[in-house]
Parts: sequence; structure tokens; C-alpha cells
Amino acid sequence: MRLRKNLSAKLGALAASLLALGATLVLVQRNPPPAANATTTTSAPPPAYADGNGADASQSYYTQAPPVDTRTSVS
Amino acid sequence: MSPDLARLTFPAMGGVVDVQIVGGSADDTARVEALFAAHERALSRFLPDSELCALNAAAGTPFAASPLLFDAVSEACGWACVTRGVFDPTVLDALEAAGYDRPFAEIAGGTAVLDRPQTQTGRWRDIAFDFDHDVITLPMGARVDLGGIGKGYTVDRAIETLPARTSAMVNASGDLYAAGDGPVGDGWRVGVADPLAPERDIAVIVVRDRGVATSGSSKRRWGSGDRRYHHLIDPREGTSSESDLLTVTVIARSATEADVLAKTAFLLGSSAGPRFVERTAGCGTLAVTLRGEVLMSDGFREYLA
Repeated sequence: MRLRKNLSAKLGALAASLLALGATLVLVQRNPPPAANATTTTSAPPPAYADGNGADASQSYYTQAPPVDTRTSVS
Repeated sequence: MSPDLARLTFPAMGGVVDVQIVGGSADDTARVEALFAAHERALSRFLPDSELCALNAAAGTPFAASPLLFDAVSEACGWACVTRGVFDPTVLDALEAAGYDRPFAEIAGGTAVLDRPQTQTGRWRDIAFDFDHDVITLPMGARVDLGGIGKGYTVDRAIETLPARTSAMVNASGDLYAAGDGPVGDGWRVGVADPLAPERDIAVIVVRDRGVATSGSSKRRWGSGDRRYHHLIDPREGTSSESDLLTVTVIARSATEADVLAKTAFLLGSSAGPRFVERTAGCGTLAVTLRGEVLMSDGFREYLA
């Protein structure tokens, strides 16, 4: 916990200092570099479950939704 | 035969927390509940006696913080850097000017909104951290709100209280982390609620050791007439975002990361938001636009059940 806290604090403090100095912050390397082909966004919903054409959320419901352990929604 | 599932549901942080631990005990779930209570007491802006409120009241002077508050605030500022300020933990003035000045249950019937708020965002850049002594110094007049990160942050800390390699899921009102292989060994199955019909799922994903969170304007909103307000403040505008998205769901490597990136993607909108998230390995987005279109990234598609 202590080590994690220190790393987290250092990240925040270091980045804030860089910005204060006017440095151009492209992207803090907290995360690995992005995969080259990982930026494609499509408008297709999950085809295995959707009925209709799936482009409209109000029409792309499962014909039979798989059972779930939990759900996510706007909190 | 699968091991027993210890499960506990309890109210916290303005919502409901669901804890499931494969092979766990009542002591394990109780420990998670106690952690949520402790975090809420320390980090809530709605509790006048919280340590966060004390920090905000001390702006302009050094504040000796607990390890928890120091960690949470520094983590929030770290994410502000990662998102280049789109996620901003210092938008509290703008949030209150938009009318979100009390728990949401109390403003649903109406609240005052400032027509031309004079608020300043981006002040996280001027927060000073003394990480040798856990001292935080906010710039004069600045206040921190951890509402944009608190649930995800607490979910991650809750998972850390469990023994290594425990299969468990902690879901705080939709911001969750699913650790291990799930109750029957094939991963945790998570339904993504359709914002236009929340009783139904728009997608079902299977995750292991991943955080999932959903942000959007479909729930915490108020106002009437030409201008509607909600709780997602665009720091570039200083008021409720006019994003073309209704909701964004993000799969990421932690609940905190998912929580922050979901808000960031929402604020950036349909053209830039999903692309920003996809830059991060192992992440994916499912966005629903105000027009009801579903935008699913390649990264998200990999987790479909």
C-alpha cells in the first residue's frame, strides 16, 4: 500500500510539475504504448445476440439474453 | 462442484454495492463493506465532517492528510495528467454552479442553476504534494471532488483486501472489478444495461481481472426547457458537457481506470472518445449516442460473451 501510494503520488506530482513548467505532455506513460491497430470503432452491435440491424440501441436487444453474474449501468 | 459463493449487498456512496467472493466467507464480505464505509467517511464531499471537506476548507495552506486521502487525491491528479485534463478533479465549483450541490436524491425535485457561472477548472495542475509527509496543498480557492473516481478507486482497494488469486467481483453501482475466473470457472459475465431500457442488456461480456465502468448523462440529470444539466462537467466549458454521447462503457485493467476513461470518452464525444480509450492496451468501449446508435470498439468486441 505504501509503495503504491508513493508511486501514485510521484506520478501526480511529477506530471503536475511538468505542466507547470510548460512542458508538452503528450501522454504520461503510465500505460503501455497502444497497439497499432487498436483504434477502429464500428457501429455494429454484438451480432450473435442482436435482432434487427443492431445500429439502434432501442432495437438491438437480445432475443435471449445470456445469464449474467452482474451488470453495469450509469451510476 | 464449484466452491460456495459468499455474497453481500449493501448501500454505500449513494448507490448499492454488490460483493461476490468465490470460496469466500462472511468475514471477507464484511471487510469490504467496512472499507467502503471508511472511504465514504473520508472522501465524500457531501459529509461535512469528511477529511476531503477539511482539505477543501484548508485550501491555500498545507494539509496533513491521511494515507487514504493523500493516495486518492494524488491518484486523481495522476489521471488528470493521463487524460490531459479532460478528467478534472477540481470541477467542484462548476458542478455546484450547475446545481449539483447536494446528494442527487435531494436535487431531483429541482435546484438552482447559475446562468453564467464564473468558475475555474484545471486547478489540479497547481496542487502540491509532499509525498514524504502526506501533505497536500491546494491552491487558494481550489476544491477537490473525488466523485468522478471514488467508486472505482474504492472497488480496487476492496479487491486488494482479498487474498491473492481470489476469484471475486465488487460492483459499486455499475463501476466494478472482476477478479479471477468467476463462479463457475469461465469468467465473470457482465451485462451492459441499455440506457434506453435499463432493465435489458445491450451486450454481455466475459471478463477476468478487468475493471468495467459506465458513465453517462442518462441518470443524474436535471433542469428543464432548452437547457438540461447533468453531473459530467466538461472542464473546457465549465458546465455540463454537451457530448453527443448518452453513455460510455469501458473495459480496462482496473476499476479506477475504467471509471476515469469512461468519463473521459464521454466528454470527448463519439469521434475522439473511443479512439482515446483504444490507445490503452486491453481497453475497449461501448458507446451509445444521443441518437441511439451503438458504437463498439474492436477492443470491446474481444470480450463479448
